[in-house]
Amino acid sequence: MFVFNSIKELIETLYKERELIDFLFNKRQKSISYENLLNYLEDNQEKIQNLLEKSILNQTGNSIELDSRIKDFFENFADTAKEINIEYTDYLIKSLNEKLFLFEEEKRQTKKDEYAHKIKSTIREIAKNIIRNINIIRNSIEDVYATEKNFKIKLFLLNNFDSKRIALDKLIDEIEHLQRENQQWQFFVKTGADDELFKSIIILRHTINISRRNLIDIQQKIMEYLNQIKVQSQLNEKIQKIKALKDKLLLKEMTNFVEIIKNDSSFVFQPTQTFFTKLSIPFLQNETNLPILLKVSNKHLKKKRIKGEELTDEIEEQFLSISEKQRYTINLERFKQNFVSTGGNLIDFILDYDFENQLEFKDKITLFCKVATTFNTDFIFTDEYQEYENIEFAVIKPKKQ
Amino acid sequence: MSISVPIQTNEIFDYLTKGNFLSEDTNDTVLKALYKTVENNFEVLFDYFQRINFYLEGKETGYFYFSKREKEPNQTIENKIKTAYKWIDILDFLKTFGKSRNENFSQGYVFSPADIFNHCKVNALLQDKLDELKKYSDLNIEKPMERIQKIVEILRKETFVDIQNEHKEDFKVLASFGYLENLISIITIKDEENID
Repeated sequence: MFVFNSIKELIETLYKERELIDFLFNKRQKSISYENLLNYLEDNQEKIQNLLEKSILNQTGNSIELDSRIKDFFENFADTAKEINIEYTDYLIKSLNEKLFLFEEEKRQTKKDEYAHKIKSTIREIAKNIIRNINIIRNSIEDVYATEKNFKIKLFLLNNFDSKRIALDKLIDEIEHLQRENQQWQFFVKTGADDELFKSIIILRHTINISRRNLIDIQQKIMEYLNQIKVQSQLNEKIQKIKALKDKLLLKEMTNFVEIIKNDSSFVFQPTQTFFTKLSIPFLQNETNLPILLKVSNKHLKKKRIKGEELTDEIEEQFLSISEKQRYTINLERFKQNFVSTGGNLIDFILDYDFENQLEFKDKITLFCKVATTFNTDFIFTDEYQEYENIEFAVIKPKKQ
Repeated sequence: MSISVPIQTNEIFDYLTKGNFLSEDTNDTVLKALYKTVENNFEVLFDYFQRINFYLEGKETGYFYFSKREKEPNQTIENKIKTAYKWIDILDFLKTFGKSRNENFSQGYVFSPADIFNHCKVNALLQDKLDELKKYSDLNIEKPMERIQKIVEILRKETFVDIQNEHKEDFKVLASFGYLENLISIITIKDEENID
């Protein structure tokens, strides 16, 4: 029941409670409990009671919401409605038909004018309503496709939108039919014609053109989305089948699987590609790279030492046949020290040295070379030579300390 | 003839030769930029890599990858088949998981190992499939949760999924996942009616 004395009074009340109405409108998708609202209003029970009585608010069970008429009004006006309302369009078309009939039959001019006015506003309303429905459908299908994860719900909603699209398409047919065939419409256009009416009719025709194009596009989108869902579910089935065949060891037999895998040359089924390249000579020669080279070589040495279990190269037969139990070696470091402390010429020192084991001349030459190269920094290499058994030996002397 | 290739060519080559996919929906900004570069210079890069026998694949699929077209020894084919078997099992497991939630395990899907684990607990079929994966040496892990984490790690390593939220352990399925799906869809089954 309308408890206000005038629209003005209603608006005043709405204005007074604008904060609360805004709060409830923003939360219209959820249900607000009485306690929560009381909390929001700082325990003002009286206010809630008052608004309930004036039908601004509605209470169902424990939840409170804005009265649906107010909510719908705001939604419509702010174009935030998400519900597709084909029924309203249908109602508008029926009401247009009724008024056209009344306009034709009515003889009193004032009444006739009243109907003419209503017809014109209904025409505008129909145009507006169709466009709004189309926009909602369009946004909704994209929204559902992108955000709805559950494919059963997705399928249901998309099919639902498709049936709404078909319904809307039929309504547009009806409007076009009315404009073409309806005698009362033609009578109205002839008699009630003014600029305002022509403008409304042009808008309606324009709307119909846009709508037709949009509906085709929407249909394609829905089909595409439904198709994608279908492809996905077919793929799921296919994987199940392939897996079953694999488990029954029939995959190679029953499908072209081997051929496909053979032809697939991606790296998914192959070991990772590795490339071996040589270090460039300029890189090795560059002194700035020395730290890297040392690091690598250290690592290499360490690795070898830690491993310790590597097999060595095979020992040749001839070495294995030697039956010696002990091997005589010379400690080069000590030998050098002896030489340095004695002084003189290295080859003379070696030839005269009293070795524990008898060394052959060639062994002495080897020793000479070893000592000379190992400790070259401790020696002075003179330009003189000495000859023993047809071999020239450089005269090498210890550095003076 | 000289071709002018983008300056990122080396990075692209390095990334793709590791067997990785470049997906349009990756969360990694560097990789996303590389994807754009490949997309904008596809013809040039295709031509360039082709000369060194690397084929840039995946035009207009949302992901790029390399392939090499050369004859392979039988040993390699055997190994490839073994790897493909493993992917079939993993794919079947993941799709079954998606289906049990009435959702598609496909590009854009966000999941966490814990989600999968929780579904395995209530879905015996899924649990069976998870247990079956133990036959692969790298998935022979006793604890189910750790096995699932290993599967996700493999998917991530092969660049089929990307981390979405480090904190919540959420992963996102990338466009490259379509490669596996496509491979399944091109298999033709002979005599389809005779299979139950």
